[in-house]
Amino acid sequence: MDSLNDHSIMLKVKAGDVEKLGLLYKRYSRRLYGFFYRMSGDGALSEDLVQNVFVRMLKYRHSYSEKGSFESFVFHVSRNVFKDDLRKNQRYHLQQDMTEWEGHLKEESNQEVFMQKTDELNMLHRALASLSAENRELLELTRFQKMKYEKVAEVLDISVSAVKVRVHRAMKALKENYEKLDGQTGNVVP
Amino acid sequence: MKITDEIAIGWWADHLEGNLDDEKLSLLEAYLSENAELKIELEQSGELWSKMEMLENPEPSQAMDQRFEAMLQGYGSAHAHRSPGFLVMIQNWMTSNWQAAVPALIVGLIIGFFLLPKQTGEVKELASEVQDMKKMLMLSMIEKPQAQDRIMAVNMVSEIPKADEKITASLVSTLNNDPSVNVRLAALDALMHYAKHEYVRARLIKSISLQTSPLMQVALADAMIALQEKSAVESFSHLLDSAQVEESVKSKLESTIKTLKEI
Repeated sequence: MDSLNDHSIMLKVKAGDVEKLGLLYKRYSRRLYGFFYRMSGDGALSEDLVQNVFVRMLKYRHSYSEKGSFESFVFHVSRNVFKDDLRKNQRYHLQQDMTEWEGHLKEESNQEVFMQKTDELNMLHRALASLSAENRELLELTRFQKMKYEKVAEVLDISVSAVKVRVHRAMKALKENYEKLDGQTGNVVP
Repeated sequence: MKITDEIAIGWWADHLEGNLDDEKLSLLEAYLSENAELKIELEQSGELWSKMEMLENPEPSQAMDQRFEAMLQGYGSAHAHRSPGFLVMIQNWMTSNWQAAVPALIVGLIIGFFLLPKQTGEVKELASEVQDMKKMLMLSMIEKPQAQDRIMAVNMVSEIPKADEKITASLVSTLNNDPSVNVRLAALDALMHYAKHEYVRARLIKSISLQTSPLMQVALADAMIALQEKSAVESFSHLLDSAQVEESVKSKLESTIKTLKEI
Protein backbone atom coordinates (compact mmCIF):
# COMPACT_ATOMS: atom_id res chain seq x y z
CA MET A 1 0.00 0.00 0.00
CA ASP A 2 2.82 2.28 0.97
CA SER A 3 4.72 1.61 -2.17
CA LEU A 4 1.54 2.25 -4.18
CA ASN A 5 1.33 5.63 -2.53
CA ASP A 6 5.00 6.31 -3.14
CA HIS A 7 4.46 5.37 -6.75
CA SER A 8 1.47 7.67 -7.22
CA ILE A 9 3.35 10.51 -5.51
CA MET A 10 6.28 10.02 -7.84
CA LEU A 11 3.90 10.05 -10.81
CA LYS A 12 2.68 13.45 -9.60
CA VAL A 13 6.26 14.66 -9.36
CA LYS A 14 6.77 13.37 -12.86
CA ALA A 15 3.71 15.30 -14.04
CA GLY A 16 5.25 18.54 -12.72
CA ASP A 17 4.11 18.73 -9.10
CA VAL A 18 7.70 18.81 -7.83
CA GLU A 19 6.68 19.96 -4.34
CA LYS A 20 5.45 16.42 -3.72
CA LEU A 21 9.04 15.25 -3.72
CA GLY A 22 9.16 16.53 -0.13
CA LEU A 23 6.84 13.68 0.92
CA LEU A 24 9.10 11.11 -0.65
CA TYR A 25 12.08 12.74 1.01
CA LYS A 26 10.39 12.37 4.40
CA ARG A 27 9.75 8.70 3.79
CA TYR A 28 13.07 7.75 2.31
CA SER A 29 15.81 10.16 3.37
CA ARG A 30 16.66 8.28 6.58
CA ARG A 31 16.70 4.94 4.85
CA LEU A 32 18.92 6.27 2.12
CA TYR A 33 21.20 7.92 4.62
CA GLY A 34 21.55 4.54 6.36
CA PHE A 35 22.27 2.89 3.02
CA PHE A 36 25.04 5.34 2.12
CA TYR A 37 26.41 5.45 5.62
CA ARG A 38 26.78 1.72 5.91
CA MET A 39 28.22 1.53 2.40
CA SER A 40 30.76 4.33 2.81
CA GLY A 41 31.26 4.79 6.56
CA ASP A 42 31.26 8.56 5.97
CA GLY A 43 28.46 10.66 7.48
CA ALA A 44 29.03 13.93 5.64
CA LEU A 45 29.42 12.16 2.32
CA SER A 46 26.22 10.19 2.95
CA GLU A 47 24.28 13.42 3.41
CA ASP A 48 25.62 14.70 0.09
CA LEU A 49 24.69 11.50 -1.65
CA VAL A 50 21.13 11.55 -0.29
CA GLN A 51 20.80 15.05 -1.74
CA ASN A 52 22.23 13.82 -5.05
CA VAL A 53 19.63 11.05 -5.22
CA PHE A 54 16.77 13.54 -4.93
CA VAL A 55 18.35 15.97 -7.37
CA ARG A 56 18.73 13.12 -9.81
CA MET A 57 15.13 12.07 -9.26
CA LEU A 58 14.00 15.57 -10.16
CA LYS A 59 16.24 15.77 -13.15
CA TYR A 60 15.24 12.42 -14.59
CA ARG A 61 11.66 12.32 -13.32
CA HIS A 62 10.37 12.09 -16.89
CA SER A 63 11.98 8.69 -17.25
CA TYR A 64 10.21 7.25 -14.20
CA SER A 65 8.27 4.18 -15.31
CA GLU A 66 4.48 4.23 -14.97
CA LYS A 67 4.52 0.57 -14.01
CA GLY A 68 7.55 0.33 -11.77
CA SER A 69 7.98 0.14 -8.02
CA PHE A 70 9.22 3.31 -6.39
CA GLU A 71 11.30 1.47 -3.83
CA SER A 72 13.21 -0.41 -6.52
CA PHE A 73 13.60 2.81 -8.46
CA VAL A 74 14.97 4.82 -5.56
CA PHE A 75 17.52 2.17 -4.63
CA HIS A 76 18.47 1.75 -8.25
CA VAL A 77 19.18 5.49 -8.44
CA SER A 78 21.03 5.36 -5.10
CA ARG A 79 23.31 2.57 -6.25
CA ASN A 80 24.17 4.56 -9.35
CA VAL A 81 24.82 7.71 -7.32
CA PHE A 82 27.10 5.73 -5.03
CA LYS A 83 28.97 4.09 -7.89
CA ASP A 84 29.41 7.39 -9.73
CA ASP A 85 30.78 9.06 -6.64
CA LEU A 86 33.12 6.17 -6.03
CA ARG A 87 34.37 6.36 -9.60
CA LYS A 88 34.81 10.11 -9.50
CA ASN A 89 36.47 10.51 -6.18
CA GLN A 90 37.87 7.16 -5.13
CA ARG A 91 37.29 8.38 -1.60
CA TYR A 92 37.05 5.07 0.13
CA HIS A 93 38.26 1.54 -0.45
CA LEU A 94 35.62 -1.08 -0.92
CA GLN A 95 37.58 -3.67 0.97
CA GLN A 96 38.87 -1.87 3.94
CA ASP A 97 41.72 -3.01 6.00
CA MET A 98 40.64 -3.68 9.56
CA THR A 99 43.27 -1.52 11.21
CA GLU A 100 42.27 1.38 9.02
CA TRP A 101 38.64 0.81 9.87
CA GLU A 102 39.36 0.76 13.61
CA GLY A 103 40.91 4.20 13.47
CA HIS A 104 38.03 5.42 11.37
CA LEU A 105 35.52 4.10 13.87
CA LYS A 106 37.17 5.83 16.81
CA GLU A 107 37.17 9.10 14.97
CA GLU A 108 33.58 8.91 13.85
CA SER A 109 32.25 7.84 17.22
CA ASN A 110 33.06 11.31 18.49
CA GLN A 111 31.34 13.24 15.80
CA GLU A 112 28.58 10.94 14.58
CA VAL A 113 25.54 9.43 16.19
CA PHE A 114 26.41 5.91 15.25
CA MET A 115 27.64 4.89 18.73
CA GLN A 116 27.85 1.25 19.55
CA LYS A 117 26.65 0.42 23.03
CA THR A 118 28.35 -2.87 23.66
CA ASP A 119 31.55 -4.54 22.55
CA GLU A 120 29.54 -7.26 20.92
CA LEU A 121 27.64 -4.87 18.69
CA ASN A 122 30.77 -2.91 18.05
CA MET A 123 32.36 -6.08 16.79
CA LEU A 124 29.37 -6.91 14.62
CA HIS A 125 29.53 -3.43 13.17
CA ARG A 126 33.20 -3.88 12.37
CA ALA A 127 32.60 -7.31 10.89
CA LEU A 128 29.98 -5.76 8.59
CA ALA A 129 32.26 -2.91 7.61
CA SER A 130 34.99 -5.31 6.59
CA LEU A 131 32.77 -7.22 4.14
CA SER A 132 33.16 -6.66 0.41
CA ALA A 133 30.96 -3.90 -1.03
CA GLU A 134 28.81 -6.52 -2.80
CA ASN A 135 28.17 -8.48 0.38
CA ARG A 136 27.57 -5.34 2.39
CA GLU A 137 25.11 -4.07 -0.17
CA LEU A 138 23.17 -7.35 -0.14
CA LEU A 139 22.85 -7.33 3.64
CA GLU A 140 22.07 -3.64 3.58
CA LEU A 141 19.13 -4.09 1.22
CA THR A 142 17.73 -7.31 2.66
CA ARG A 143 18.43 -6.82 6.37
CA PHE A 144 18.61 -3.12 7.10
CA GLN A 145 16.32 -1.82 4.39
CA LYS A 146 14.05 -4.84 4.92
CA MET A 147 13.38 -5.12 1.23
CA LYS A 148 11.67 -8.22 -0.11
CA TYR A 149 13.90 -10.60 -2.02
CA GLU A 150 11.87 -9.92 -5.16
CA LYS A 151 12.57 -6.18 -4.92
CA VAL A 152 16.26 -6.74 -4.24
CA ALA A 153 16.36 -9.01 -7.28
CA GLU A 154 14.85 -6.16 -9.33
CA VAL A 155 17.38 -3.64 -8.05
CA LEU A 156 20.37 -5.92 -8.61
CA ASP A 157 18.95 -7.35 -11.83
CA ILE A 158 19.46 -10.98 -10.78
CA SER A 159 17.07 -13.85 -9.98
CA VAL A 160 15.34 -14.16 -6.62
CA SER A 161 17.01 -17.49 -5.90
CA ALA A 162 20.39 -15.93 -6.68
CA VAL A 163 19.65 -13.19 -4.12
CA LYS A 164 18.85 -15.80 -1.46
CA VAL A 165 22.01 -17.79 -2.10
CA ARG A 166 24.16 -14.65 -2.16
CA VAL A 167 22.64 -13.41 1.08
CA HIS A 168 23.45 -16.77 2.64
CA ARG A 169 27.06 -16.49 1.48
CA ALA A 170 27.29 -12.93 2.73
CA MET A 171 26.00 -14.03 6.14
CA LYS A 172 28.57 -16.81 6.19
CA ALA A 173 31.34 -14.31 5.50
CA LEU A 174 29.96 -12.02 8.17
CA LYS A 175 29.90 -14.84 10.71
CA GLU A 176 33.51 -15.74 9.91
CA ASN A 177 34.59 -12.11 10.35
CA TYR A 178 32.67 -11.85 13.56
CA GLU A 179 34.27 -14.97 14.99
CA LYS A 180 37.72 -13.83 13.93
CA LEU A 181 37.25 -10.47 15.62
CA ASP A 182 35.96 -12.26 18.68
CA GLY A 183 39.06 -14.43 18.84
CA GLN A 184 41.25 -11.73 17.20
CA THR A 185 42.78 -14.35 14.91
CA GLY A 186 43.14 -14.76 11.18
CA ASN A 187 42.24 -12.41 8.38
CA VAL A 188 38.78 -11.10 7.77
CA VAL A 189 36.74 -12.22 4.76
CA PRO A 190 35.77 -9.43 2.40
CA MET B 1 11.57 -33.33 -5.96
CA LYS B 2 15.30 -33.43 -5.44
CA ILE B 3 16.43 -30.86 -2.92
CA THR B 4 19.84 -29.26 -3.24
CA ASP B 5 21.68 -26.94 -0.85
CA GLU B 6 20.65 -24.03 -3.03
CA ILE B 7 16.95 -24.92 -2.82
CA ALA B 8 17.25 -25.49 0.93
CA ILE B 9 18.84 -22.04 1.36
CA GLY B 10 16.02 -20.46 -0.64
CA TRP B 11 13.36 -22.26 1.37
CA TRP B 12 15.07 -21.32 4.62
CA ALA B 13 14.91 -17.67 3.57
CA ASP B 14 11.20 -18.07 2.75
CA HIS B 15 10.69 -19.83 6.08
CA LEU B 16 12.24 -16.91 7.98
CA GLU B 17 9.86 -14.59 6.17
CA GLY B 18 6.95 -16.91 7.03
CA ASN B 19 6.34 -17.72 3.37
CA LEU B 20 7.00 -21.46 3.30
CA ASP B 21 4.10 -23.92 3.15
CA ASP B 22 3.96 -26.94 5.46
CA GLU B 23 4.77 -29.47 2.79
CA LYS B 24 8.02 -27.70 1.84
CA LEU B 25 8.84 -27.06 5.47
CA SER B 26 8.74 -30.78 6.29
CA LEU B 27 10.85 -31.53 3.20
CA LEU B 28 13.32 -28.86 4.31
CA GLU B 29 13.49 -30.24 7.84
CA ALA B 30 14.10 -33.74 6.51
CA TYR B 31 16.86 -32.46 4.24
CA LEU B 32 18.54 -30.49 7.01
CA SER B 33 18.43 -33.41 9.40
CA GLU B 34 20.58 -35.27 6.90
CA ASN B 35 22.84 -32.25 6.24
CA ALA B 36 23.93 -31.23 9.69
CA GLU B 37 26.62 -28.85 8.45
CA LEU B 38 24.21 -26.73 6.41
CA LYS B 39 21.72 -26.81 9.27
CA ILE B 40 24.27 -25.39 11.71
CA GLU B 41 25.30 -22.80 9.14
CA LEU B 42 21.72 -21.65 8.63
CA GLU B 43 20.95 -21.54 12.32
CA GLN B 44 24.05 -19.54 13.13
CA SER B 45 23.28 -17.13 10.31
CA GLY B 46 19.81 -16.77 11.75
CA GLU B 47 21.21 -15.82 15.15
CA LEU B 48 23.50 -13.23 13.64
CA TRP B 49 20.64 -11.95 11.49
CA SER B 50 18.61 -11.30 14.65
CA LYS B 51 21.56 -9.68 16.36
CA MET B 52 21.85 -7.21 13.49
CA GLU B 53 18.48 -5.83 14.54
CA MET B 54 20.19 -4.38 17.59
CA LEU B 55 22.58 -2.24 15.57
CA GLU B 56 21.55 1.36 15.79
CA ASN B 57 20.50 3.23 12.74
CA PRO B 58 22.69 6.18 11.87
CA GLU B 59 20.97 9.57 11.90
CA PRO B 60 21.85 12.43 9.61
CA SER B 61 22.24 16.01 10.82
CA GLN B 62 19.42 18.54 10.51
CA ALA B 63 21.45 20.33 7.90
CA MET B 64 20.61 17.58 5.43
CA ASP B 65 16.88 18.34 5.65
CA GLN B 66 17.47 22.07 5.38
CA ARG B 67 19.60 21.60 2.31
CA PHE B 68 16.94 19.46 0.69
CA GLU B 69 14.22 22.00 1.40
CA ALA B 70 16.36 24.79 -0.01
CA MET B 71 17.08 22.72 -3.11
CA LEU B 72 13.40 21.91 -3.66
CA GLN B 73 12.32 25.51 -3.12
CA GLY B 74 15.00 26.76 -5.46
CA TYR B 75 14.00 24.25 -8.09
CA GLY B 76 10.29 25.01 -7.71
CA SER B 77 10.66 28.78 -7.92
CA ALA B 78 13.14 28.59 -10.79
CA HIS B 79 10.61 26.62 -12.79
CA ALA B 80 7.54 28.56 -11.71
CA HIS B 81 8.91 31.99 -12.62
CA ARG B 82 10.45 31.21 -15.91
CA SER B 83 8.79 31.78 -19.29
CA PRO B 84 5.10 31.91 -18.21
CA GLY B 85 5.85 34.83 -15.85
CA PHE B 86 7.56 36.74 -18.61
CA LEU B 87 4.70 36.12 -21.03
CA VAL B 88 2.13 37.28 -18.49
CA MET B 89 4.13 40.47 -17.97
CA ILE B 90 4.14 41.22 -21.69
CA GLN B 91 0.43 40.46 -21.94
CA ASN B 92 -0.37 42.83 -19.08
CA TRP B 93 1.77 45.56 -20.60
CA MET B 94 0.10 45.13 -23.99
CA THR B 95 -3.44 45.42 -22.61
CA SER B 96 -2.65 48.52 -20.60
CA ASN B 97 -0.67 50.17 -23.42
CA TRP B 98 -2.66 49.05 -26.47
CA GLN B 99 -1.69 52.20 -28.36
CA ALA B 100 1.84 50.93 -28.33
CA ALA B 101 0.78 47.49 -29.55
CA VAL B 102 0.59 48.44 -33.23
CA PRO B 103 4.11 49.95 -33.48
CA ALA B 104 5.34 47.02 -31.40
CA LEU B 105 3.84 44.68 -33.99
CA ILE B 106 5.59 46.57 -36.79
CA VAL B 107 8.88 46.46 -34.92
CA GLY B 108 8.33 42.75 -34.41
CA LEU B 109 7.73 42.23 -38.10
CA ILE B 110 10.89 44.12 -39.01
CA ILE B 111 12.96 42.15 -36.53
CA GLY B 112 11.36 38.98 -37.85
CA PHE B 113 12.21 39.99 -41.40
CA PHE B 114 15.87 40.41 -40.49
CA LEU B 115 15.94 37.22 -38.51
CA LEU B 116 14.39 35.17 -41.28
CA PRO B 117 17.50 34.69 -43.45
CA LYS B 118 19.33 33.50 -40.33
CA GLN B 119 16.69 30.87 -39.78
CA THR B 120 16.91 29.62 -43.35
CA GLY B 121 20.66 29.40 -42.75
CA GLU B 122 19.94 27.12 -39.83
CA VAL B 123 17.58 25.05 -41.93
CA LYS B 124 20.26 24.72 -44.56
CA GLU B 125 22.75 23.63 -41.96
CA LEU B 126 20.29 21.05 -40.68
CA ALA B 127 19.63 19.79 -44.19
CA SER B 128 23.34 19.40 -44.83
CA GLU B 129 23.67 17.46 -41.58
CA VAL B 130 20.91 15.13 -42.73
CA GLN B 131 22.74 14.72 -46.03
CA ASP B 132 25.93 13.86 -44.17
CA MET B 133 24.08 11.26 -42.16
CA LYS B 134 22.63 9.76 -45.31
CA LYS B 135 26.10 9.58 -46.79
CA MET B 136 27.44 7.83 -43.72
CA LEU B 137 24.54 5.41 -43.76
CA MET B 138 25.04 4.72 -47.45
CA LEU B 139 28.76 4.11 -47.01
CA SER B 140 28.21 1.71 -44.14
CA MET B 141 25.35 -0.14 -45.82
CA ILE B 142 27.31 -0.72 -48.99
CA GLU B 143 29.67 -2.92 -46.97
CA LYS B 144 26.87 -5.20 -45.73
CA PRO B 145 26.95 -8.90 -46.65
CA GLN B 146 23.34 -8.97 -47.92
CA ALA B 147 23.01 -7.99 -51.58
CA GLN B 148 19.60 -6.50 -50.79
CA ASP B 149 21.19 -4.07 -48.33
CA ARG B 150 23.86 -3.11 -50.80
CA ILE B 151 21.23 -2.39 -53.48
CA MET B 152 19.39 -0.23 -50.98
CA ALA B 153 22.61 1.63 -50.24
CA VAL B 154 23.26 2.24 -53.92
CA ASN B 155 19.68 3.46 -54.43
CA MET B 156 20.10 5.88 -51.53
CA VAL B 157 22.55 7.82 -53.65
CA SER B 158 19.64 9.30 -55.60
CA GLU B 159 18.57 11.02 -52.34
CA ILE B 160 21.96 12.68 -52.02
CA PRO B 161 21.98 15.66 -54.39
CA LYS B 162 25.70 16.34 -54.27
CA ALA B 163 27.75 13.20 -54.24
CA ASP B 164 31.34 13.62 -53.17
CA GLU B 165 34.42 11.67 -54.14
CA LYS B 166 33.93 9.16 -51.36
CA ILE B 167 30.48 8.24 -52.61
CA THR B 168 31.47 7.98 -56.26
CA ALA B 169 34.61 6.03 -55.39
CA SER B 170 32.58 3.55 -53.37
CA LEU B 171 30.08 3.25 -56.23
CA VAL B 172 32.88 2.61 -58.73
CA SER B 173 34.36 -0.01 -56.44
CA THR B 174 30.93 -1.65 -56.15
CA LEU B 175 30.52 -1.49 -59.93
CA ASN B 176 33.78 -3.33 -60.49
CA ASN B 177 33.99 -5.70 -57.55
CA ASP B 178 30.58 -6.55 -56.12
CA PRO B 179 29.86 -10.29 -56.45
CA SER B 180 26.17 -9.67 -57.26
CA VAL B 181 25.24 -8.58 -60.80
CA ASN B 182 22.13 -6.88 -59.48
CA VAL B 183 24.17 -4.68 -57.18
CA ARG B 184 26.61 -3.88 -59.96
CA LEU B 185 23.72 -2.90 -62.26
CA ALA B 186 22.31 -0.65 -59.54
CA ALA B 187 25.73 0.93 -59.05
CA LEU B 188 25.97 1.64 -62.79
CA ASP B 189 22.53 3.21 -62.71
CA ALA B 190 23.53 5.41 -59.76
CA LEU B 191 26.81 6.43 -61.39
CA MET B 192 24.96 7.54 -64.51
CA HIS B 193 23.56 10.44 -62.45
CA TYR B 194 27.09 11.76 -62.01
CA ALA B 195 28.30 11.00 -65.53
CA LYS B 196 28.84 14.69 -66.22
CA HIS B 197 31.95 14.44 -64.07
CA GLU B 198 35.02 13.52 -66.05
CA TYR B 199 36.25 11.24 -63.25
CA VAL B 200 33.05 9.19 -63.31
CA ARG B 201 33.05 8.88 -67.10
CA ALA B 202 36.65 7.70 -67.13
CA ARG B 203 35.85 5.07 -64.48
CA LEU B 204 32.85 3.84 -66.44
CA ILE B 205 34.96 3.39 -69.56
CA LYS B 206 37.63 1.61 -67.58
CA SER B 207 35.01 -0.69 -66.14
CA ILE B 208 34.15 -2.03 -69.62
CA SER B 209 37.24 -4.20 -69.70
CA LEU B 210 36.63 -5.44 -66.15
CA GLN B 211 33.12 -6.79 -66.60
CA THR B 212 32.73 -10.46 -67.45
CA SER B 213 28.97 -10.74 -67.04
CA PRO B 214 27.06 -10.37 -70.35
CA LEU B 215 24.37 -8.39 -68.56
CA MET B 216 26.90 -5.83 -67.39
CA GLN B 217 28.56 -5.65 -70.76
CA VAL B 218 25.23 -4.90 -72.45
CA ALA B 219 24.27 -2.38 -69.76
CA LEU B 220 27.59 -0.55 -70.17
CA ALA B 221 27.14 -0.52 -73.93
CA ASP B 222 23.73 1.13 -73.50
CA ALA B 223 25.19 3.54 -70.99
CA MET B 224 27.96 4.63 -73.35
CA ILE B 225 25.46 5.26 -76.12
CA ALA B 226 23.31 7.28 -73.74
CA LEU B 227 26.36 9.32 -72.79
CA GLN B 228 27.53 9.51 -76.40
CA GLU B 229 30.97 8.58 -75.22
CA LYS B 230 33.12 8.09 -78.28
CA SER B 231 36.23 7.24 -76.33
CA ALA B 232 34.60 4.00 -75.22
CA VAL B 233 35.00 2.56 -78.72
CA GLU B 234 38.51 1.39 -78.04
CA SER B 235 37.54 -0.40 -74.85
CA PHE B 236 34.66 -2.18 -76.56
CA SER B 237 36.95 -3.20 -79.45
CA HIS B 238 39.40 -4.70 -76.99
CA LEU B 239 36.58 -6.48 -75.25
CA LEU B 240 35.33 -7.93 -78.53
CA ASP B 241 38.78 -9.29 -79.31
CA SER B 242 39.16 -10.87 -75.90
CA ALA B 243 37.71 -14.19 -74.90
CA GLN B 244 35.50 -12.55 -72.27
CA VAL B 245 32.56 -12.03 -74.59
CA GLU B 246 29.79 -14.51 -75.24
CA GLU B 247 28.45 -14.97 -78.76
CA SER B 248 25.09 -13.44 -77.86
CA VAL B 249 26.71 -10.18 -76.74
CA LYS B 250 29.08 -9.82 -79.67
CA SER B 251 26.50 -8.40 -82.09
CA LYS B 252 25.32 -5.94 -79.44
CA LEU B 253 28.86 -4.70 -78.94
CA GLU B 254 29.45 -4.42 -82.67
CA SER B 255 26.35 -2.32 -83.11
CA THR B 256 27.38 -0.18 -80.14
CA ILE B 257 30.79 0.47 -81.65
CA LYS B 258 29.12 1.38 -84.90
CA THR B 259 26.70 3.77 -83.25
CA LEU B 260 29.44 5.42 -81.19
CA LYS B 261 31.62 5.93 -84.25
CA GLU B 262 28.77 7.64 -86.06
CA ILE B 263 28.17 10.17 -83.29
